[in-house]
Amino acid sequence: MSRALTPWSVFKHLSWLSLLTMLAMVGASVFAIYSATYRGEDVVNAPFWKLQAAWIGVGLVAFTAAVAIDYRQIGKWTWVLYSVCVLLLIVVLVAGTERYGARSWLGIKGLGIQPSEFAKIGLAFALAYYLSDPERDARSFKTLAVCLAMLMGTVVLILLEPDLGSAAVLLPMASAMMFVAGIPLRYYFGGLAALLIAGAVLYSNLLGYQAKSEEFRRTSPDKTTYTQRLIELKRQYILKPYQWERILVFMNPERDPYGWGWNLRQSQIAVGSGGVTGKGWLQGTQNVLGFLPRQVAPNDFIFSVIAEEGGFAACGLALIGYAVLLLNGLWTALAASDRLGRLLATGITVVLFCHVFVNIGMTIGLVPITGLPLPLLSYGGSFVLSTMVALGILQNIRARRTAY
Amino acid sequence: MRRLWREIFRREEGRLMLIGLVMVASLFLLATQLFQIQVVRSAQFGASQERQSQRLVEIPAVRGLIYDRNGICLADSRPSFDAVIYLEELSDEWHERVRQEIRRHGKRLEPGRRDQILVELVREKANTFGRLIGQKPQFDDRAIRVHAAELRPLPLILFPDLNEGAVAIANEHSPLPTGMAIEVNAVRRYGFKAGDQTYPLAAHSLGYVTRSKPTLELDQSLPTFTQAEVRGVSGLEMKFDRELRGRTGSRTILINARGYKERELGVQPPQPGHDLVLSLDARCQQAAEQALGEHIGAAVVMDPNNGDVLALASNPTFDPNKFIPRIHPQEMDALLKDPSKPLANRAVSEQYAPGSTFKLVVALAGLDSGKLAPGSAAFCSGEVKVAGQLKKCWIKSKGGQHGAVNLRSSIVHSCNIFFYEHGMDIGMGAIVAMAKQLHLGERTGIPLPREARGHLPDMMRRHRPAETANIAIGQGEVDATPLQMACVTAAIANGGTVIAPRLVKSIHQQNRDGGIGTAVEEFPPRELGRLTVRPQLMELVRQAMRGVVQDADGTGKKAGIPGVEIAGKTGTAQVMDAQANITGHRAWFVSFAPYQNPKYALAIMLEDGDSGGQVAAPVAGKIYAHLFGVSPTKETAAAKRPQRPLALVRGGRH
Repeated sequence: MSRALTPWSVFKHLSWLSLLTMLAMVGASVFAIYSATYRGEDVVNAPFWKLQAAWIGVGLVAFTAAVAIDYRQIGKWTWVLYSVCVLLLIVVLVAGTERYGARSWLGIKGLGIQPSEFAKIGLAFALAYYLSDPERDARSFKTLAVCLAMLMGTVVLILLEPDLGSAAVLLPMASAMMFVAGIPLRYYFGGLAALLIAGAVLYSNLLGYQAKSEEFRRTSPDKTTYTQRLIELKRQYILKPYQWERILVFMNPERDPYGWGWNLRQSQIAVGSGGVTGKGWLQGTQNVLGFLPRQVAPNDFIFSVIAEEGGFAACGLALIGYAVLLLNGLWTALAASDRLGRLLATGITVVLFCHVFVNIGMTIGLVPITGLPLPLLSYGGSFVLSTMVALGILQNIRARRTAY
Repeated sequence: MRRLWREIFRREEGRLMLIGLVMVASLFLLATQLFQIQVVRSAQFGASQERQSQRLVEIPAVRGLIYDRNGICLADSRPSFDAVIYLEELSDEWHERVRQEIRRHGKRLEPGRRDQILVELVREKANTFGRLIGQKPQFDDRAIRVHAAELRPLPLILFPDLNEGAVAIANEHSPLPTGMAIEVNAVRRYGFKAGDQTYPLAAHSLGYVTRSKPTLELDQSLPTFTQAEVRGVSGLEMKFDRELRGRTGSRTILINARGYKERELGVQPPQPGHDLVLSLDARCQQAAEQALGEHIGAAVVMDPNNGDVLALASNPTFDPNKFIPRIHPQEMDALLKDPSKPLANRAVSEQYAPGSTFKLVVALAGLDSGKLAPGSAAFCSGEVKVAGQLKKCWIKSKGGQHGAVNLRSSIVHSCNIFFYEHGMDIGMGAIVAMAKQLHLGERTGIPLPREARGHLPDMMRRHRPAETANIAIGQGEVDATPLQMACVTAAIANGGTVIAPRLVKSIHQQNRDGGIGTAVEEFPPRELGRLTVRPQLMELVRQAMRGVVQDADGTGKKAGIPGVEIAGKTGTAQVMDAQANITGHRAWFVSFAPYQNPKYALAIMLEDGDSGGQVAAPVAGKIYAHLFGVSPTKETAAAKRPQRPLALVRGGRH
């Protein structure tokens, strides 16, 4: 029997370990962001850390709400939730603010939200709700088709912004949920085959791009012309030139250390020069001197800042923190009182995992550079908010698990 | 196994565990990679981080001074006031202008426009300052661009070497335009103060320095901005560059990603260079240079007792101050193309046939080997047949003959016939052996660059009698530098001790309060060996040499001064072209004085002299007149030309 908990008694059943871990990490994020935007004592430093602290405050309220309201109650409103998310994704395409070349923001600068962050939760709810219906036959093709349709609905809209990274994490999330729900393995082989074909197409495209870039490099009088000509290639290939370059730089870090490869190289230098114990708070030269570009240091590359100033010790702590949250998420899925809770917990945990793995992986050269932020530590209002809501939902499911 | 897998896949929990496994493995992979980068390879990344964010800026050391043996300064450094600009301090103004221009045009700037704005800004500042002091700035736009791109932490010199008036105006009108400052740099100065004139002295020995342009050196442990570095490229400045230069210091600065200085991390102060004390005597050197007058040639004055080189003159000379801070390419070209080769150090780096001065070596070889007896004689009819070839004495061309000659008179009159005949008896082997005892044919080791080795006959091959006869009068396969001949003379003067020439006596710590500091290294006199010639036989040669100057009919009597006994030997070597046509003469005169207890050994070589006795001996006479404080004889006084400051002397063949 599952427990029937009131919105108040639920707080007695929280996982205090993961709650403390979350609080510790958002607390640390304020310090990390302060340092990432620090430019010296006598310089006016950007107030990002204050904004982050404010968003964390909002996030705590949202977290409380996400814990208090029984997820099964929310489940009944799944289709409304999913529709609102899709609607927002459409609205942002029409009325969104463009920043860094992507139309992914709603609202005014600094206080805006990114609908794509909430679409993750909306999609997780939708898939979990649909797959957990007792009448659903997980082995039928129809189930698969409906799941894929829901997935594609959000993925395509996010890709249109375009926000490749956010769209890409939805794939493993949905796959994992469908996998746990019991979609037959043969479909996965089909998916794998599709991925292989897509990979082959991308690869041949990459080779074409590479040949073109070599030709430009040979024939351009200077670096500016070369870069300009590359940027003008944006419609000829599947990915954008900067995305190809990130992949090529990932494959060969020496390709362009002072251009496209700058961030990767500087991030690795930051992480590596941190050593075992780090240089100390505000002592990391990579971000203070601007080698780690100021636009990316507080968000996508916050881990490099932490790694430089806190060293392997801080990195290890962060990894342990994520391990606590992720394993707790998995355990929540295992112990959930129903399939809705189990699938929801699976989806949320996998999305978190993807963010953690891809973000840390890119700062140390394990993964090509993508625009995925690091949960709880990166600067970003919507992301902090959505992550705390997601963790709230996990606590929610966990607190209302089957009695044992 | 298969069943286990099926079981895992069948159950939701199993599938969840698989996902968990993937996650844990991935986190472990991250941890491993982090360990690899942050612990195993941390030093490498730390070094990259330092290399890109730290720069060394060199601080030049004060160059050591060069003194003569009496503490007279021959090379020092004077302050040069340069008006400079620090581009870094313009960055706020620069970026403000860029912003304004973007706002005005409402679009991106054309490529290169940003840099052009900086150039305009620098020009404005320079023009403002230029109007103040009434000078035009000396730089081009390219220099500013290059400096901004590569040498930003270093000052850019806009007005080099301001005069006192300009410095005074600049000081009154402070503050100067943003970023500008007056900086003091040390500039090398060569000169010897005599009366109210300052001559550059001993240019060939001192050499000169050049100032290299500041650069960014990347192949150091940290990228290093080298300041304009002063480097000796000739003479003692080159040979003792390491000692004179001292050790450059450096400031370590932290720069940000845009290349601007953020703050200073540390300073390593420079260590001043050491001073040199030479054996040269500035007044003697001046006398030697003046005695050479407009002749093309060299004069060496040595102390035969310890090898001290008191004067080492080569003419024509040059003004080393022209090389400071950098010589104009056109002037350098003129110096290099000048047929009189003013840059060549004729005393050390050029070698010449020694002519009859070599007869001293031949006589010593004969006496030592016993082939030449003290009483040996010959009859000079003006010519002699050697192996079927007719050889002449110089007296023949004057329409005469020497008649009966012995060892003494053959040296006093420089008779060739005597040396042809006895030279062949003595033989090439004994002559070359004696030359080797005197260390001819090898470098003396004087610390000057490009010292010539001289030349001796190759004993690996057989020589025809005519060749031996030729060597006996110092022609043919034998060459020596004036310095080597001075050493030979010194060995005869001191009774047979072959001594190495000493140019630098000691190296001292720099003493900022003036005067010479404590010695860090001394160079004692260096004896190379003793001649095997018995003293009483050596005395015969010395007596003959005295006759050369003191006898009324001696060939070198024009070197004589009243009251001092001088001994010497003249020489006139023929210069022949490839067709054996005589194209000129080298006039030599080697000598020492006083005859008893010699204090000076001299070698004079003139490339344009017709005869050693007529041209070279008077030069020696002038130097002796100075050394012994005697007023020149009537003859030398008549030959004395109006003196001009040496800075203006550019050789006699224009």
